[in-house]
Amino acid sequence: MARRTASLPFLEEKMLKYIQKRLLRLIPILLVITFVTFSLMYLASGDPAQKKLVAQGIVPDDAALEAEREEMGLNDPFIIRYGKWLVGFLTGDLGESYSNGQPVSGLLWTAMGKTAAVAVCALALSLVISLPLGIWSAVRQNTFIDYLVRFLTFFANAVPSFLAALLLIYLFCIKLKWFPVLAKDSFRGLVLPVIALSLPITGKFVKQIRAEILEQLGEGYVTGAQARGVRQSTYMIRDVLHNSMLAIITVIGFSVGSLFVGSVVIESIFQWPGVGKLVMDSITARDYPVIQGFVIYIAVIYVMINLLTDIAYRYLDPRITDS
Amino acid sequence: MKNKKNLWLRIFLFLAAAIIILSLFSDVLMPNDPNATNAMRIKEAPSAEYPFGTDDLGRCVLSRVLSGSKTSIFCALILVAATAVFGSAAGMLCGYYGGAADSIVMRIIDGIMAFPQMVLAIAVAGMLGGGMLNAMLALGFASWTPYARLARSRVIALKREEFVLAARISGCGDGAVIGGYIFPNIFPSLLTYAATQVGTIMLGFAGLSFLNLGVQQPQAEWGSMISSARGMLATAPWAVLYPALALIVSVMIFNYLGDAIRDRLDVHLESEERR
Repeated sequence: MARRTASLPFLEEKMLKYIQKRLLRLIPILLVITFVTFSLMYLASGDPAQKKLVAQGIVPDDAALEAEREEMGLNDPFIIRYGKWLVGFLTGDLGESYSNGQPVSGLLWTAMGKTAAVAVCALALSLVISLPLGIWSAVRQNTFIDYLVRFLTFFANAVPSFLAALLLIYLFCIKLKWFPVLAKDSFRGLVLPVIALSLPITGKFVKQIRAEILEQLGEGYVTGAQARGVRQSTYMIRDVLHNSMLAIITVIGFSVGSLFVGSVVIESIFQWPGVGKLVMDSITARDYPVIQGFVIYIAVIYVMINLLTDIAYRYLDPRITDS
Repeated sequence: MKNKKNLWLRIFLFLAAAIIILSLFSDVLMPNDPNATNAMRIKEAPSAEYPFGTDDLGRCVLSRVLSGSKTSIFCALILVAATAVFGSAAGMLCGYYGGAADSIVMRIIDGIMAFPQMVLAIAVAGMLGGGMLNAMLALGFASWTPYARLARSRVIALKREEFVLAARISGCGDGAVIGGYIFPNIFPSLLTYAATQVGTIMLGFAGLSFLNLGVQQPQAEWGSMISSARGMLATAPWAVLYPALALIVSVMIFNYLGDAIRDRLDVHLESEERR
């Protein structure tokens, strides 16, 4: 049986139980994540009161520092400060930016929307390119096309997004003058950042999709279909692609990390007002609450996406059980 | 099939060795002083005297690419070696002895792995305030965990194998069992994973330098060279393109080498290859 169905009623209940269990298991992970993030900041930030006053352009004297420390709760012991911060985090309060006094969560949410626009477009573009290329290269294994695709894949894997961005700018903005260098919040400005962000991911996708399709093509059911005279397009779409969905979904799930990292770099190059630019500006300005908020948000999103990937995995292949 | 695998392995071993030797002898090969500025000859196109042109301070780009190769390549190699040794040792000890220490270390690893590797590295480097050593610490902190997980899971599986039990019964101490029986069996997997990481770490390091979180001026490093030259992409593109080319070619060679080693040793690293 090549096809799988997951619509049997008893599975629904099993799925719900599974999701419940996974959500419960998230709690300790979230605790560790928040603890790691908080301790890193605690160790790194030196005297936040001084940092805050300096960031606001005030030359701090001892009295002002002491007052600020008391107000920020810096005289409390580590564990109390962590507790307070954790409660704040859980209620959506990540403190205020040192530089402009705005709430960190608000800043991050606004920027997150901008980043998501680029990231979703880049992910879609990667899929549109890599699915046909991966399949084509697998079906024509060890032909010229396969070698070409594999070489391009390797090239894409070795070009980080910041280089892709610079090469694209050189080609399209300076040589051909087709696009503006800075994204400036416009649709036209989005084209190059999206391509630059999608290039390294496309490389990874093609590699994985090709490997997965090759593995499926080696299975008995393909030989069986070929022996029965089933047309290639029929068994490719009906069986091989269907069975490769698991691997493809996993790959998409794991690309989220690269998307975030790519965004940091791409946004600082194209001056796109997303989280990446926000965090780089905050690093330059030593604006620790914003860096802290960024790290914790990314970690939470990353963990959630991994969870969704696992759930999708189970839904598509009910044979998978807890090991 | 095996011969073909060996051939590729040899080719890429040779190429990787060639780059490493090139970077080792970069001091001799440099046509000019990589840090010597020359206000009269800024942003000059490639010529016989400056084969890769000059940058905005009149420094020789070829000399800087060669001088930067040492930083870029050796930082990556040292970092991979250090994280591999540290991570594997931690993983083997955790897997072998188990207990409360194991649980604590594994929870920490879960926590670190809950972050995308480079996001964590950027955050840590940003907090530490940049610099080459801090960038290495940041990348190392974010990348030792897969070795520990890999080593630990293999040790737990091997611990119950008969040959390990036999070694114990015949009087081997813990050290001798780990060193003599367990380690040789997990070494190929660890080596393979480490080999596939060299290119990734090289890109990570260049990325941090590009974001001004790594190597500081005037020291030459490919990522920081690209970063500082990006403003003159229109007027002196060679100052960006040559270090970029050096980076891409080196990463490709090390990636190919990693894959060749994996094929040759026939190691499968499913769960560890996710990121």
